[in-house]
Amino acid sequence: MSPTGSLPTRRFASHADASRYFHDQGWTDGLPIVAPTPDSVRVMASAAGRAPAEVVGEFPPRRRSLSVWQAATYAVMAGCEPAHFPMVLATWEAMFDPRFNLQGVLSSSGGAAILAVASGPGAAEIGMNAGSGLLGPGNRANATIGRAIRLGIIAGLGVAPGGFDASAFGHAGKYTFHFAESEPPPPWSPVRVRLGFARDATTVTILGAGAPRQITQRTGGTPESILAAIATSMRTPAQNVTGHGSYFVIVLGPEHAGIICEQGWSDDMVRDQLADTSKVTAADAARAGFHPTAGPDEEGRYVTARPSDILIVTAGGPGAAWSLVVRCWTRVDGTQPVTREVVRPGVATGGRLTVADSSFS
Amino acid sequence: MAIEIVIPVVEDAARQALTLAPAARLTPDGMIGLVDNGKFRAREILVAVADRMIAAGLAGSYAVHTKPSASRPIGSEDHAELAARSRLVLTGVGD
Repeated sequence: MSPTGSLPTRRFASHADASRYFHDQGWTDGLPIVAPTPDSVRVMASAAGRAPAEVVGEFPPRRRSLSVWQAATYAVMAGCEPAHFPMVLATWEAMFDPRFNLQGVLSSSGGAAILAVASGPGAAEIGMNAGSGLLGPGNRANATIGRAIRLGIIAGLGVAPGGFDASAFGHAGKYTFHFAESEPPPPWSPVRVRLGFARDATTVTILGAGAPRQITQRTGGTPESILAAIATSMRTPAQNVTGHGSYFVIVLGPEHAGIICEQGWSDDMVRDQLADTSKVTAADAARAGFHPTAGPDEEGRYVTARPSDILIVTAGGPGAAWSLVVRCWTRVDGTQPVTREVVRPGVATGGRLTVADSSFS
Repeated sequence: MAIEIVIPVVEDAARQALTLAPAARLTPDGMIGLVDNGKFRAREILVAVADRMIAAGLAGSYAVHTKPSASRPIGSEDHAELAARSRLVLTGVGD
C-alpha cells in the first residue's frame, strides 16, 4: 500500500484550489469541502483503531469497495472531528449489510436518504444533537457525520445525482440525516436496549428513508389522540408503500413522549396501536393509484406497517407538542433497517445481548 | 507553498477494464428472457415487446422472470440461469 493508503495524492496551490477541483470533478455534495491532507486522513483513520487498508465493504454495481482509509478521507472532507469517526464507520458497516440493499437505497428514483439514529453514551460524548433542531443546522457532529457518508457515496462509490442516483427529487436528508436519541422517560428503555444491546453500548440504526414529516397533536392529551395523529400521517395513500407494509421511524417529541409514558403505555402498546390505526382501505389506496396485493384483515384494511416494523425514538426539542414521522422509501421486501454497535477504541461495553423481535435489530 | 492533498477516488485498473459483452445475434428459434421488476404493468410491456420480436422472426419464445421486489437487484443464481437460457434478456430500468 502507498504511504497514503489506497488513494493517490496531488499537489495544489491552496486548500481553496483543492476544494474547487474536487467540486469540478463531481466529488462533492455541492458545498465546499475540507481538503484532505495525508496527515489529516491519517489522524482520522487512527481514531477508529482499525487498519487503514481494511475493507469495510464492497459495492459490486459500481465495482467499488470502501477501505478505512477512504472512509477517513471522506470524513475529513466533510469536516468531522476524529472522535466522530467510529460513528461514521459503524454507519458504513450497517450500510454494507446485505439486508439493507445498498444498491436499491442509493439508486432508486424514490430518492431515499440514509437516516441514522444514534443511541447510547457515545453519541452524547461526541456532541450529537438529540434535542431542538436535531435535523437542522448548527451541530457539527450531526452535520458532518452524515455528510461524510454522502461524500463517500458520491466520491467513493461513484453514486451521484443524475447518474446512478436516480432520485426524482431527493430531499435535504441526503446532505446529512444523523441524529441522536434522547434517553426516554422512565420506565421506557432506550433504542439500543430495546433492540437487544447493553445499556452501556452505543449503536447506530439506519433506514433508507424518505423526507421527515413533522406532525402535531396539541389538544387531545391522551396516548390515543397522539397516536391517531401519527397514524394519520403514516397512512397517507400517495406513497408507494401504501397497503403493502413498510418501515417507520416515529420520533416522539418530549411532550408526546411524556404523555404516553406517564399514562402507562409501553413501547409494544404504542407500536401495536400505530400498526392497527395506520391501516388503509382498498378504496384509500385505489384513489392514490395503488392496488394492494397482500390480503386485507377481517375489516377489509391493508397494512401500512407491522408492529415489528416500527421503531419508536424519543428526541427533539420542546414546543407545541410535535413529533416526527419518517417512512422507509420502499416496502418491506425491498430493504431492512440495520443496527450496528459503534466500536470505540478503549471503550468496552456489554455489546449485543439478544436479538430483539424487531426488524430494526 | 503547494500542499499535498489526498484524491478521494480509487484508480482501479480492474474497474477501468470493464467491457461490454458482444451484441447478441438474434435467431428465429432463440429465447428471450424478460426480467419483470414487479412494477405496475412491467410484465405486460415486456411481453408486448417480445411478441413483436417473435412476429418479426427475431426470436422463437420468451420466458418471464418476475423479481420478488422491485427494489432489490436480481439474484446471482437467477441471473446466471437467465444468461444460460436466453439469447437476449430484456428488462426495464426505473419506473
